Amino acid sequence: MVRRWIVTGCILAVSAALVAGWVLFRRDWKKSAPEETLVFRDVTSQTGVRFVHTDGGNGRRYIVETVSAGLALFYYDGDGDLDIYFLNGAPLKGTIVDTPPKNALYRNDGDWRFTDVTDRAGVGDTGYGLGVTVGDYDNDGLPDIYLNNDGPNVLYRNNGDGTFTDVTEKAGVSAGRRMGAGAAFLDYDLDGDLDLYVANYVRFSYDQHRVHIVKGYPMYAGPRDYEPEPDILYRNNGNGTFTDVSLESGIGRVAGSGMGMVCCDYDDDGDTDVFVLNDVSGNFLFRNNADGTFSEVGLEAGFAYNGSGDETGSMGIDCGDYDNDGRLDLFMTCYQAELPVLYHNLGNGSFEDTTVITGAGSGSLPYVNWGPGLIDFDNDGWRDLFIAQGHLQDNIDLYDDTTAYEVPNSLLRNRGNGTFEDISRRCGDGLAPKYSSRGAVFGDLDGDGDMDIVVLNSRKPPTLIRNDQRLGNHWVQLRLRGTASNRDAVGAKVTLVAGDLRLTDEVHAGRGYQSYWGPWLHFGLGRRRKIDRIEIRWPRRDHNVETWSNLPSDRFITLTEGDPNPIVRTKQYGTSIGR
Amino acid sequence: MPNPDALADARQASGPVSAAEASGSDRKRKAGRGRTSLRNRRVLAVGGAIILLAAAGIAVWLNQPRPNPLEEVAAKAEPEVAALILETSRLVEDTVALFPDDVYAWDLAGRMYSRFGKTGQARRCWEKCLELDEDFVAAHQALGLAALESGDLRAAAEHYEKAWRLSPESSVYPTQLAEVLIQDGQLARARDVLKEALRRHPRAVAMRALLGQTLVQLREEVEAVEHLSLVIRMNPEYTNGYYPLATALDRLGRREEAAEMRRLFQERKRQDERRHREQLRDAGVQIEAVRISVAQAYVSAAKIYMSLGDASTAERYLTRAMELAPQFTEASLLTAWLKDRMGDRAAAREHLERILEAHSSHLETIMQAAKLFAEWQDYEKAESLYRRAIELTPHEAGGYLALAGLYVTSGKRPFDAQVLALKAAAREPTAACFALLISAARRNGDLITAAAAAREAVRLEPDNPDYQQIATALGVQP
Repeated sequence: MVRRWIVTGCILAVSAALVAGWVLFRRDWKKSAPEETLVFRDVTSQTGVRFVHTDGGNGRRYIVETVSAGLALFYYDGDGDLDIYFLNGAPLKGTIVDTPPKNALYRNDGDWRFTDVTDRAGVGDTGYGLGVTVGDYDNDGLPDIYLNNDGPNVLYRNNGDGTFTDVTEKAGVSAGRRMGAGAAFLDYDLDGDLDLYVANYVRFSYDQHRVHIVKGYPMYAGPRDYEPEPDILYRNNGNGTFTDVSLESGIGRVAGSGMGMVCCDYDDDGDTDVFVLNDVSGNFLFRNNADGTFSEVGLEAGFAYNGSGDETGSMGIDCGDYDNDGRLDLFMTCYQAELPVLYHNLGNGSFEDTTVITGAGSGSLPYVNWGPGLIDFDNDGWRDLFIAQGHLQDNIDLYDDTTAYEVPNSLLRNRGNGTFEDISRRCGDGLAPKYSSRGAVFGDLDGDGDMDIVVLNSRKPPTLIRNDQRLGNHWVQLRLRGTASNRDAVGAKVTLVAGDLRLTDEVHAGRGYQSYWGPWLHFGLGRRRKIDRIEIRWPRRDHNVETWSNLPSDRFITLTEGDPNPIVRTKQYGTSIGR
Repeated sequence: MPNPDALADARQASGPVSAAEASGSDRKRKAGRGRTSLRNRRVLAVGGAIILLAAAGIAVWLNQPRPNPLEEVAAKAEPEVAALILETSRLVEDTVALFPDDVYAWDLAGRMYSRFGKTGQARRCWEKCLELDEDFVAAHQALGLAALESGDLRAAAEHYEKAWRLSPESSVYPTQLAEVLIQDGQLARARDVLKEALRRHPRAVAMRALLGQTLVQLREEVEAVEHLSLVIRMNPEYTNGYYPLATALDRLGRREEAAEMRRLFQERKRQDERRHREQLRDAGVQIEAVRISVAQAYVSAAKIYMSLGDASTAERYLTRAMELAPQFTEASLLTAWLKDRMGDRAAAREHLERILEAHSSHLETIMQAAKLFAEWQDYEKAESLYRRAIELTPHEAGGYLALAGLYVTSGKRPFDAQVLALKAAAREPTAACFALLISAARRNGDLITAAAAAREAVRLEPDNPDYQQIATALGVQP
């Protein structure tokens, strides 16, 4: 009898402990957050976004399933607020579907409501989406979309009335039937129009398909199971068509298993260089020789490998000045059991792996990392790190309990002293959802001055994360308009001075994990209320620099090449106003 | 009997009342109270029942037989592998059930759980090992690795540190400790660990390369170049020695040398990648790897039975290990040893000869077989095998050291013993090599060499009382 009571008592105690644990756990996610510096909220359910990603798989484990996909954050309709374009997979061999999946465009209606306008806009490509970039290739002031697919790629020209036209064939940028990856617009020859870099993954055909068995479980093959595929560089002819200049430029003379990429002027010589991550292989850094050719200098520059000389499962890359020394650094995400790599730009044409001394890899070792973001989330003037995470082996939970297929994403706050701290589990519930995330994009979706996040999750709905920080720091967002330079000012370098703060950024069109976000450049200003000076070096052959002085904070400002008068607004505004 | 308090309350609430009224309202109140009390009892009863039911449910749930973690893994695995995993599962369960107080049994379980991805379960097994023996080095190392895989760098460092302190002769533990410290950003501490460990293991290439890398990160390029140059002299095929060396040379302004190192690095990287691609094409590799793991489990279990004198079970397990993975020679070598222990040296010898025939170039097998022949005092056979080992790896100390040891033990060829010990010490200047040189030199009456060797041994391991004693006996000043 006594024993029974003891047992019952124990069970009740355990039950009470479980309930208490659950309550504390919930509180840990929800209640403690407001006390912290940054608060993110998962607002997906209230947005009306119904998109669900598919990788087109059917259990046969084709390699392409693992790398899908990126997404884009831009404004397609000229109303100034940021719309979202999600890439989707397509049925692979053996997959039968009733309705073919397609990419989806969601229009931002404000107040965190979005409407699916895919069909109306005509951008519901049913190809197998992997990478996307956005750029005004025809300099008409309207953002166009380029899709890097597994199979023929697609260029959508923006008609300016909320619709797009597929101009791939006319433009000559379909790139055949390659397995794509990241893509970026850049003006590599500084002739005032946007050229196009198309990264490719591996050479795959169904008859080469392989599956590995590890610990008795089928595993997706890796990039080394297939031959690498060279990338493509298209030169813009200025008449709506492009020419493949891969070989003569030197880009096509080497082959890698390309993934994420970014174009930036790392050596500050005024022209744009190209960084391409290669999965389990040395990364490429194509230094622009300013004569229409590139030299691959990844090894010499310390970018090909991590600091130990190891190739990594390189996934996504972002570019930004994390230590405010005026030079653009790079942050690269990697595979499980590999630290992501923070490449510190030394200013002499080379990089140093500062991951371990900065703590930029904190907490990410057990996970596969994808979409990176070097973004100032708390507007304190220092760029923080966001990492989208999730395994690519969908059965990993069965044979490796140190990681998981679906995991929460990560956020590391820049302390402003050259180090980062992992605050992922104490910044609200925005990062709590567990998915196998891929691409991540960043922008001020609600126009409140701080950077929000959209994450594409493999085989699942996306996550829309609202930044609810209430730190009272100041900020400014800049949009650049080229006149002699390309209209989007892609490649323009911005230096902002506000008191003792000096920030540097550049306009990019294609970054992260095979994604795009833009066109606004966001700067956190901390407690500084006004901007003393903004310098812009335009992407043109004479490297012309213009300066604007005494600008207000907490504004959306457009700076036009050759125009000393900035357009200053309290709200985001779009193409029509900018014209 | 009216309740005076209730009456007082009623008066207060509604003014003066008659006794009858008071009595009536009291009854009502009592009746009301009775209903409340009944309702309360019902609520309590229902609530209690719910709690009891919930508790019973939890109890039933907790008492449900949990699936064995390996069975869980096997459930969805490919049939051939699933069968092997289930076989391992039975072996592990039987061994732990029979020897619940044996650290090796728990270690075996831990290794198998970890091998098949159940790190949480494995961790519990190794924690059990430490409960049984807090100085069980293998458990510390394994827990270190498990913590590292889970991203807990601090815990990993603690376990590796303990493993190293418990087994200072190991070159693996300090290297692992340093790797974790580096990942945790503790570069200076990693450097100190590596420098300390290198005193004992000056020929440990991976450790020295890691020190070089760490020094590059610490901006101590001059010293980094020294270490990394030595690494590639010791092992020109050690790819990752070249990369940090190039970085350090670059920073020192030695651009041409840096470019050359990068070229050599790239060349080796391409070779490594080619090799990896070829390996990936070999589809059978993975099932072989599982077979070897299961064979290892059988060997570990066999060792437990051997240590307890159950030779027949041990032999049965070793036979199964050999069936599973004939290329895994540890099982065969142990079988030979066991046959000898069971009194059948002829069978043991025959078995050993067969293994050597099948693995005539496998260094580890040759060295282990030679050791057995030496134990059986077949010095000629042992000698020929050690010579074979030297032929296979002339730049490594192992063969010279073993043959010198054989001569010293057997009392044969004293001069050769000294020459061989000297060669071993030249290739791997460790305290162990110098200790053997002391013995060999003393036998030859070469006290000068012996004293010099003693000085080196004491320098390398100043805390070792044996070396200090020998040094004192030889008149060496500390």
